[in-house]
Amino acid sequence: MEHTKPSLLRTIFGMMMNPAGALGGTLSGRWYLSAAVSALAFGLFFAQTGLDLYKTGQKEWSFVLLSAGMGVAYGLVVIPLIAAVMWAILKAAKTDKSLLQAISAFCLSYSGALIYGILGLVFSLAMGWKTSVAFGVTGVLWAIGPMMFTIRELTGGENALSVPLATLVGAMVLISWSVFGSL
Amino acid sequence: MELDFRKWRALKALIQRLCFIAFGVGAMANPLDVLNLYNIGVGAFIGLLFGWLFRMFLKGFLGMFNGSFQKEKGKEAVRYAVDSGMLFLSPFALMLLLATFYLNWSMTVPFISAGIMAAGTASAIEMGRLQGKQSIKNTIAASGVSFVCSFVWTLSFPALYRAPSLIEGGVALVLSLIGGGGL
Repeated sequence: MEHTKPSLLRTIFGMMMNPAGALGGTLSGRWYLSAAVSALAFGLFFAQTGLDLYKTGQKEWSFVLLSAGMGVAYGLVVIPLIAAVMWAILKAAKTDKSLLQAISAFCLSYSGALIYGILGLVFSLAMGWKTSVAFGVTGVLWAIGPMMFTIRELTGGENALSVPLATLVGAMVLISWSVFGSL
Repeated sequence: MELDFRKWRALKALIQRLCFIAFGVGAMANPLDVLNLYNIGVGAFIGLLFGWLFRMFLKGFLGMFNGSFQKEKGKEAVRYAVDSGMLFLSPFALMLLLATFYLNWSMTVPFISAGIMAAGTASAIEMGRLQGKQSIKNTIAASGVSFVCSFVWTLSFPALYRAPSLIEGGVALVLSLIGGGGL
């Protein structure tokens, strides 16, 4: 029987509402689309940080573009790298999933951050709000939930690793963003 | 194999309580005086009270939506699902403490909202695991309760935030009266 892969849009909303169900389809492949989700999510998040600093007169417009670029690079390189480190740890815990499946699932954890990022950019540009915390940080925090489910799925339903590893990743992302914001 | 619903129950209850205490303490913290004992005490109390209400409603609604399952397996099964789901609060509680006491951030609502939504979703997924299949009604029930609790917290927080200073003022007044200072 042929299995049809769910659309990317369906997977993104699925990861927000029902991560366990969405992961079943996700783990079957298309890692490059998942990497695009996290790249775009962080691109929008960092761009809003740049916009907030531009609005308060602390930075130039060029910094907004630089922020967006750094965000895309963060989502495209740093998140898959973190996923690779997590996969190595999970490999020791006897996961049977491949590296690409792990990267794909980790990147897709930021589906909620992408949606918050799009909404935040709309409110930032249309209403002039400062949105990096209200929308950006909220989106990144929303990613922790799906990430815990991802790690749990990768370890065959065990909570013991999912909670500490997701906490570690979440804290690393928050601290690195905080450092970026104070540059 | 029959699942032991009482396994790790005391540890789960302790983690849950610590998470809600962390939510309350983090939310009530004053950035200019983070170690104020009144803020910490009132925060811990409000966090525990809120956590008790959230858990009670989550258990009640999941039990109501799964009447036959609850009749067959007992209330312990629903309690087990909710208690396991509540473990997913811990990354958010730890990150909230990190944000409040290390990064000196004053915005706490996104951490608490995201944590409550993640715990609700995790409880629904845990119910699905116990039943052998995921069900959309569990997701709707848990998401609905989590959303309402998160909304209530967000709305009531500005009023509750004044409580520690009012109590501190009241205590100072009583102490001055006892000490013979008069009005």
